[in-house]
Amino acid sequence: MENLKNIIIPANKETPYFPAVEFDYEKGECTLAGESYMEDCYKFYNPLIDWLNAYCEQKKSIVFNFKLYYFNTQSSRMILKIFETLMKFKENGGQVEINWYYYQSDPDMVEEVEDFQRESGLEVNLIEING
Amino acid sequence: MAWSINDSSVKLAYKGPFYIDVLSGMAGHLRQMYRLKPITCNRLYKIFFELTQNVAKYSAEMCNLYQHYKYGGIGSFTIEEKNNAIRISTTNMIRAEDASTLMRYCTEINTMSVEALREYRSLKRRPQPGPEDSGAYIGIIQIGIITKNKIEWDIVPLGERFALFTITAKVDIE
Repeated sequence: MENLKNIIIPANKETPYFPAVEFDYEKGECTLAGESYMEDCYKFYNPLIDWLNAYCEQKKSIVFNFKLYYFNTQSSRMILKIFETLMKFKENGGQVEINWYYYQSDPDMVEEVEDFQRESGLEVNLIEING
Repeated sequence: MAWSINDSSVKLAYKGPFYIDVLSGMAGHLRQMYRLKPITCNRLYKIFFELTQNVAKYSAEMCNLYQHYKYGGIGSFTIEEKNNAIRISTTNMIRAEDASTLMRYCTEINTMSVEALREYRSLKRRPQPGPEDSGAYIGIIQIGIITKNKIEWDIVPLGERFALFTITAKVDIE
């Protein structure tokens, strides 16, 4: 089976509503960073979720880093889909590590992540950063 | 609608199409204004986008001048600072038949505790079948969670077919 191509979308100051994306097949590590409030969430996230599904069929472990310091409620629906994909992977024997980085100045984010944990049944490492 | 701002407590205001790039620029300005109060600033930022993106998507008055934008709902917003709190309001035209649904949403959200709202958000995060699957609704639930205050709203009929909907969220300055 051919390896998946990595997805790299760098941050762009002109379009801050799209997060930067780094989905690295060889490293087994995926990162979403920045903000997420684009007009069409499905169009942006569906290809990422398709990639993730294909990845989960081929590999045994994954590290997923969320470095999103703002996302709107429409994006949160897609983030939940990512969690559900990872949960399915775990149920099929995959090893999953999720790290969520949040700013000290955003205590509401902790509650939001706790709700993702509750909704998906997955553990998340909450990592506080200065700022 | 006639619009005039004479109150010095108004820190930022806009009227026109709510294109995403306009909102993004305004939000950047908002961050700058409240950068020394980061917790308040984060709450304002989140509420700002939930309110304004609802206008962009669901306003009954649309501007389709630029085809590369998917949503061009027209409305206005004001950000007002008074008595150690910041109030963000948006106003937009809605169809008259949507008024009662919006009133029901806002009333329902104001009766719920933050914990109940978090549970409700979890429920609404999953797509619902039928007309109740409103993206606008989950946005208002999110505002109810973040604001820590009651949501205020007002609906003024504009003839038989339309109405003006104003929604306000208050953030206490921390």
